[in-house]
Amino acid sequence: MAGIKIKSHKEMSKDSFTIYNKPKYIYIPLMGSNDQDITVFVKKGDYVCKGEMVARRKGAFSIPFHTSVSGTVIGFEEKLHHSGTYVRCIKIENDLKERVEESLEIKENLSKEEFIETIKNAGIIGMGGAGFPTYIKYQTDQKIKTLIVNAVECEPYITADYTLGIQKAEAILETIDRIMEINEIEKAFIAVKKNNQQFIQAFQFVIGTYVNIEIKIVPDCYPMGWEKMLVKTITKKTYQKLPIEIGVVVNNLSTIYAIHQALTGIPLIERIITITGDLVKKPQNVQVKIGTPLHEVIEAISGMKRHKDVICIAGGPMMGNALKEDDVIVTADLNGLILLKEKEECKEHTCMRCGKCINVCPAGIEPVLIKESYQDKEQLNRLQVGKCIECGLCSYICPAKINVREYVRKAKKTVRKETANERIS
Amino acid sequence: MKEYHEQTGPFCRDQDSTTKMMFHLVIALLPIVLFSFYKNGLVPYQHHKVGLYGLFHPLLFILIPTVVTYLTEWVGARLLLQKKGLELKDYMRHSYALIPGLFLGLILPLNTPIPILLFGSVLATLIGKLVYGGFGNNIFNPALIGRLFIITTYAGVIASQGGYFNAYELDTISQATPLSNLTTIEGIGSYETLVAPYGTLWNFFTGMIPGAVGETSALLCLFAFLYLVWKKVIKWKISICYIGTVFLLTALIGCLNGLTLWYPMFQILSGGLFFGAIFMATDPVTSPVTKQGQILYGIFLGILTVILRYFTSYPEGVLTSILTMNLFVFIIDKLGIQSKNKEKSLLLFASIVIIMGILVYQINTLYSYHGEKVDPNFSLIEEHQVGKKVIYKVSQKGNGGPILCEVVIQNGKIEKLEVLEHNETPSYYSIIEKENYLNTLIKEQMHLPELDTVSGATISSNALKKLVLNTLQEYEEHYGK
Repeated sequence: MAGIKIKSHKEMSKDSFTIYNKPKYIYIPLMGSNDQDITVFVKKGDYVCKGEMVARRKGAFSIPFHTSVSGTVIGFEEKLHHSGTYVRCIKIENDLKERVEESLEIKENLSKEEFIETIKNAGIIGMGGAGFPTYIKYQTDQKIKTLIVNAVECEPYITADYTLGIQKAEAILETIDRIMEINEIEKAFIAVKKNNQQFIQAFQFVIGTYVNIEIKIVPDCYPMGWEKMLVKTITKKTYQKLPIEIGVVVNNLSTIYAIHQALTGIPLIERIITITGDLVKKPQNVQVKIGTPLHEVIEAISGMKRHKDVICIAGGPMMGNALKEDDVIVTADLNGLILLKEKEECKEHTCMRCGKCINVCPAGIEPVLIKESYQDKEQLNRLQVGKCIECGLCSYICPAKINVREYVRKAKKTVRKETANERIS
Repeated sequence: MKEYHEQTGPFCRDQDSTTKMMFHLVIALLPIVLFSFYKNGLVPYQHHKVGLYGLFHPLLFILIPTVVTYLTEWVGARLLLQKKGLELKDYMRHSYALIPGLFLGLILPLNTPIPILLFGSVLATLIGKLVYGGFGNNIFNPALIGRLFIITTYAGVIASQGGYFNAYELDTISQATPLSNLTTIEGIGSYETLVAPYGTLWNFFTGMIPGAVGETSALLCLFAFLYLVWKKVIKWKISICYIGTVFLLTALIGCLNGLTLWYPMFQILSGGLFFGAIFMATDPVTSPVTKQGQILYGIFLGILTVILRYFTSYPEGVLTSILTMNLFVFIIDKLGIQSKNKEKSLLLFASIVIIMGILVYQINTLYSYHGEKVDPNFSLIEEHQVGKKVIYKVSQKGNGGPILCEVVIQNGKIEKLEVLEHNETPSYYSIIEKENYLNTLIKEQMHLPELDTVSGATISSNALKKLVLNTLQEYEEHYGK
């Protein structure tokens, strides 16, 4: 599998950390993984305690949403979600009392079923960006042999997992150990890039007693954090759709910490997010409550530099979206906000068929050929366009500055649309 | 007031651009241009074979097509492409119009007359590039199109001017270029006939052999290759597979004919194979994009080159192969995609091995047949032994019929050579007598293959030379060396 080294820009935010936990209002977006089929449990005027469930996503991937503050439900408001769309949110006014509902007793020895129920009720989803409910990964008949903790963070600029790892190494190791015990997992790996020395040291300092947990240093290349590539690098095995086929579960480092909180009775209501970029005066990692509008956080960390043309990226610069404004709502699967100067838009030139996009493609498909025939469905199926993970390397590498990924996205739509049409007729 | 720009990512882009890649390509070509100046300008000048113009002729020869292709592109773009709404300045900046001209200058024989060179450069850009819609859309390599026109139309003119030889080589080397030499000699050839006339294999490697202006030095091409791979500019798989295939096939052919490693080395170091494989075959626009396709492309190029070298009298197989394979790039990419499937790739691999096997077998039978069969123009009339001496009465077909001779050999050496009867044109034959060629033949009997014929009586003197060679072979077969 190909992959290349990309300039990381991580040093900007690497070493600074603050906590911002006093938002005036929080907004709980009624959306999970593009699914808006959600039941709301509160109405205007209700008082909610911190950690109380306010809504639940229906269907097979059912997952609850919790409030991260105590206070009064003001109503509903459209707010910008990091996917770029405006989403209806529950607006809650923070009374700053951090009042917690009296919780049930915390059980020490959980069975596997109880564990799954716990992380499901804590609303834990993949925090690396995919937002896939975590409990589904453990709800399997197959034997889980290996747990891989993904702390690779291959996107440039983002250092949220790095910061969390350094701070909570011990809690994370303890949680991994518990997960292994509950699910009878034999071996766990913490995958980290080789140049994250401080992170590695923090873990090596406390790892001594955990003999079945190993820190696995992986090459510094993009997209090393992609599940398939990571599993291949560590286990030397490949799978078709899901890693569980070969007995592997992959969890993001932040997700593991969220499980740690869940096991102590706290649902997923906080996360670390990297606010960085050359337009941020003091780039840093901020621990924020889920539902916080980010504009407030940026102001709280001394704001933005003056510049007319801004690109505001939610997520990493490779796979993230550029937003219409910086007031995006923190969700569990948002790991960064990057504010960059708008460079003169690269002009696309003629493709000279150098084949670089093919050489770098980690999914092993042919972006340039897909681009050439992005409306020809038959050819696209032959080119296995569905394998594309939209990592963006083809656009990154293109010497003619063609945004190849956009063509591939269009091609994917072509295939999807036509397949849907066929199904209807 | 701040303005947020909604764009599509990724927001990191690689530093490399097409322009930078083309710049690296030119950098890689510079040593080759300088070497061509040294070999074709400086060396003849130092030996007083050419004047001041001749000294700078190679540089001029490379500069002219470079300028002409640029100008042609400029004019052509104004006339043909502007309708498409292209901005001329922007188009010129990203059409890299100098490159085909630069290549054209390097792949032609130095003795191509300048007007023909101009004509070829114009055609290269016009027919090779502009009619397809400019940079990135052409099917054939423009420089190769230009060369094709020049070589097919004006081969005679160029040959009469000295062909592939520079002024110094014209005087020092009596043979043709290494590969055209290969097509004229009988059988598979030997070190003495293939390599020795040009020095050693080292000369082939450094490039001090006759050939097109810039394509002789394998060493410099190799440096350029390493540089371009390092800078990630070229599709290196094509070069490796191409050279590798030619090496493999010729090594097999050589092996079957009892020739050692020098033979495949000779084959890959001559005919501009390195230059072609590294610069021309990897032209991004006209080569496959898929990884598997690039490997296949290289292998097919190698096979085609070997076919052209052994089965046709057209020795410069490399550039012709590339031009031919340009046509199949689309199909090869299709094959490349299909060969991601394991079974299909296995099938493809097997068929390639079979093709190669048949090819080697064919070449081997073809050439060993020629090699073993006694020259049909030669006949042994009488043979008897007197003591240690063997006296032959033999005949060889000359210009006017058989030439009958008596040859006396003792201990593998010719003692006596006498012409008993002949029907050659008296005026020609008198030259042979005047030059005392018979004595030369006896004197130089150890170096006969390289021995020059008598100019003015080529056919007759060649017949005599062959007669002696054939007699010696006859002797060796019965009495040993």
